[in-house]
Amino acid sequence: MFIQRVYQRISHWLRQGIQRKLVFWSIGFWIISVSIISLTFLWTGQNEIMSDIRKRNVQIASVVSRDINSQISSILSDIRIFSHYLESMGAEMEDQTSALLTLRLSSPQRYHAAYYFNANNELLIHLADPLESLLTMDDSSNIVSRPSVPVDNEVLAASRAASETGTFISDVQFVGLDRIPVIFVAVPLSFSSTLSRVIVLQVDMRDIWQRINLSTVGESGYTYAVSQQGIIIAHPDPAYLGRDLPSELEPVLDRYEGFTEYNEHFTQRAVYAAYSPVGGPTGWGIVVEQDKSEANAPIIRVSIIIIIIWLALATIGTVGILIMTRNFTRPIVELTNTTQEIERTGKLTKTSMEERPDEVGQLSQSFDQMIERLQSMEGRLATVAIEERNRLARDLHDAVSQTLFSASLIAEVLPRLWERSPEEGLRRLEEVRQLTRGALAEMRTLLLELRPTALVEAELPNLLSQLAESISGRTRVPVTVSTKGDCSFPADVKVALYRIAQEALNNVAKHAGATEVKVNLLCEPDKVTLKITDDGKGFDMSSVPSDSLGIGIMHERAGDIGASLSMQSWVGRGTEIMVVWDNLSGEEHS
Amino acid sequence: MRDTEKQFSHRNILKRRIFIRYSLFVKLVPIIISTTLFITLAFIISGCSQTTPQSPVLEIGMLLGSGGLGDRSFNDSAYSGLLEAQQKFNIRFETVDFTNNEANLEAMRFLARNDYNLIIGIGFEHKENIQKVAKEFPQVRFAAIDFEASGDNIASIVYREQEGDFLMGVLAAMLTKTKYVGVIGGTDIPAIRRIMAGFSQGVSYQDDSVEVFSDFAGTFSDPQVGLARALSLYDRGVDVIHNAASRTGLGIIEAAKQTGKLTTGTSGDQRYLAPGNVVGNRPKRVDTAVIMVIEEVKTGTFKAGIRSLGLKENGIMLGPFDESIVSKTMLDRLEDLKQKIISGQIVIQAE
Repeated sequence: MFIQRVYQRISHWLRQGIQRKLVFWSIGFWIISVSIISLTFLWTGQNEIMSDIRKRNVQIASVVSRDINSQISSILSDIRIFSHYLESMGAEMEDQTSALLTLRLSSPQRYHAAYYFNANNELLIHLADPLESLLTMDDSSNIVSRPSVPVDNEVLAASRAASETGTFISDVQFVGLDRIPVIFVAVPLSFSSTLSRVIVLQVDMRDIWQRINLSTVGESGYTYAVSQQGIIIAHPDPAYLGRDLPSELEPVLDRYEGFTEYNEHFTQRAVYAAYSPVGGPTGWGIVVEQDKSEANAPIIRVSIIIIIIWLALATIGTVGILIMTRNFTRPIVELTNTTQEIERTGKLTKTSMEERPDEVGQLSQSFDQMIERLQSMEGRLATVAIEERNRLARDLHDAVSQTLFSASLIAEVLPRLWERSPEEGLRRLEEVRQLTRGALAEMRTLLLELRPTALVEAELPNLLSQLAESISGRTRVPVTVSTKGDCSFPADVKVALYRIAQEALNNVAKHAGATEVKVNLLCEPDKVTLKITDDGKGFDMSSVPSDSLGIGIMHERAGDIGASLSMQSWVGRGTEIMVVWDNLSGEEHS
Repeated sequence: MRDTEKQFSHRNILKRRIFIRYSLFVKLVPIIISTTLFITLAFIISGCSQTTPQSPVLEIGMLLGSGGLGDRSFNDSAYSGLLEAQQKFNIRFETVDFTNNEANLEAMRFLARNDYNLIIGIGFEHKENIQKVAKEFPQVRFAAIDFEASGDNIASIVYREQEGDFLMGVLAAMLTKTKYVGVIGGTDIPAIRRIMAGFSQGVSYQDDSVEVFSDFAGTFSDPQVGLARALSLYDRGVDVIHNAASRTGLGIIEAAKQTGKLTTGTSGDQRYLAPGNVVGNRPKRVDTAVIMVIEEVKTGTFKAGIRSLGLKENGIMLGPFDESIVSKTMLDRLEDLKQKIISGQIVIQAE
């Protein structure tokens, strides 16, 4: 409902002005397109950066795990070769011991301790002493004869596993008070088909762990390692050691490499985690974790830049569109205001705008020209109206008022005349009657001029007799009208015939000095003949130009309706005008 | 009056119609806009929550042949195959040097026990062990490279050496001036027999009038024997000897250097040992086989059984040759014949 009302209000507001529409839609489309472009950039940018982060962190995890894998491999390979060496030198205990001592002294950092078991898992030699005491032991027989000591269960388990299944690598253990991370590598030795032993070496992992600690990403990213059992075995923060691998990262234990995001369980930080399996006999996994906020920083930076660009573009575009639209629609608005002003006040005013060559300029220019013409026409109309009024006054004065004046004079003297001679009175009364009838007819004719539609509605015979009466009233010449046939035909024909008759009778009244005028109208189904005859002085046809005396007008009118007009005049004997209109189509006109 | 009224009302209807259409458009626009925005937003959201699909990491164990890493031929080629596979398929690998049979067996079992996806044995010395361990660990896959081993989980890849040696025979026949060429093998084993057969066929294919002297040194590892045998061949008028004797072959090269005659080889690039006397080699592409098998495991198309690689499969490579000895026309000839072998127009017998 609310949305509908808002929508209605907006569309109503929009409908009020072309400027509003233009501004609304242009800005609307501009902002939408800019937004879509920005969002697309934002999206692709985010994806690109995200995939870069993903690739980089997975790559780091992968490189660290490959490195650790090769470290473990080389340790294993060394121990393997060492075991071949032990086997090849014979089963003599003292030789074996001195070889073990040499190994321990050759790389005391790596091999912390060595244990030597027989096939029954009984400790024969142990070399777990610190480096300083090892340096003082020069006689290996002393070592061989040393009493057995209790050893870690882990060492025993490794020895057992090796004697049963072969080379064995234990999980990471933390030994000693300083919790040094170590692994136990146990390798079976076989000297003959009957004599076999097991050597267990305790390998220091700190060297390898250092690589893990050194592998950092950005400020918050660090690397840690988990065992095959899913327990954290190396972590820059010792508090995490021994904790379980978050379940989100478990695929690494199944030797999957990948990337995920999750909330770190202890601190609840949102992190991106890349993981990669170390592989090999250890089955460890390497995880690279980075704070989401730090990793996302470039995304946010890019987003801010894009949003700023978006805002700038939207603002600049909006302002530009506003200026453009205003510039474009201002003349139209002005024009509209001008027309409204004209409508309201009726005063014809021009737009008074600066000149522009475009369509809007042309429009206002032609509007101004139109106003100019209207102004001149307004003046002309005023003079025409005055002229028309004058003509009417003249006509009334010439015809009607003269006639009525004569009638009133006669009427004044009539009583006295009546007393003197009733016959004379009667004759004069007849005269008054004729005069008033003539005046009436004259009035009607004048009214016809004032109201041309009446002309269209009236019948031709009536019009003709009215005309005749007005002429005879004016000139005192009897005009007889005779009509034959059914005289109904198109209005234009009727008007034309009436005008011709009017012109002819006017001419007769003005020039002929006739004593009798006849108007004959003969209506036949296919032909109409109008004949006007007088017995006036006539004229010489050759001496009168054909377009004078309204003859030209009569010809023109006859031509308009396709009728033929002929004129005969004899000097001293009168004139005859005949109009013949052929109803060529033979149609019945209503 | 009535007419104008009519006209007016008609115009009104027209106007209304246009307005209806216009308002329809106006109603559609917000829908279109909101749909576009929605789709874009959906993209962004989906883009953010997208996680990489996990990819499994293969573990490959490789038991190297007796020469070990750094032999500049067989084992190095296998190792470079591993490195290339690591880049291509993201693998972890472990290599085990050859010490003795016992230790090798123990190492192979160790790898199998630790669930390696693929265990590759390079060289026939692994034949017994690989067949034994493959039986013990049926779920682990094995690859035997350059020797035939049978087992349900062993992919055995051998080379059609004779194809390369055929071309070396052609080359020797083109190079000889005395019309006598020789071939010295290590011991009398099938692989060497194949080399000799291919070489002889190549020589007679190129030039029937050239005679081939074949000889076995009886060992793969004594250059002194190779030197003596080669000198005796060169004495008999042979001027090109094809060397198929591994370390013993170093003696052949020495003999060529001493007498100023020519020698060709099978594996590795040995030109630096006697520049001007060593024509060139036709190494076996062990790396091709290694990558091929790893790719099969990766894509789950691993298939057991014996397969052979030849020129067609890029299993055997020609050259590089000493260009001061081998002319452009000879190279063109070799290339032409190589294409014929690949297309099957020339068939070389293994015996």
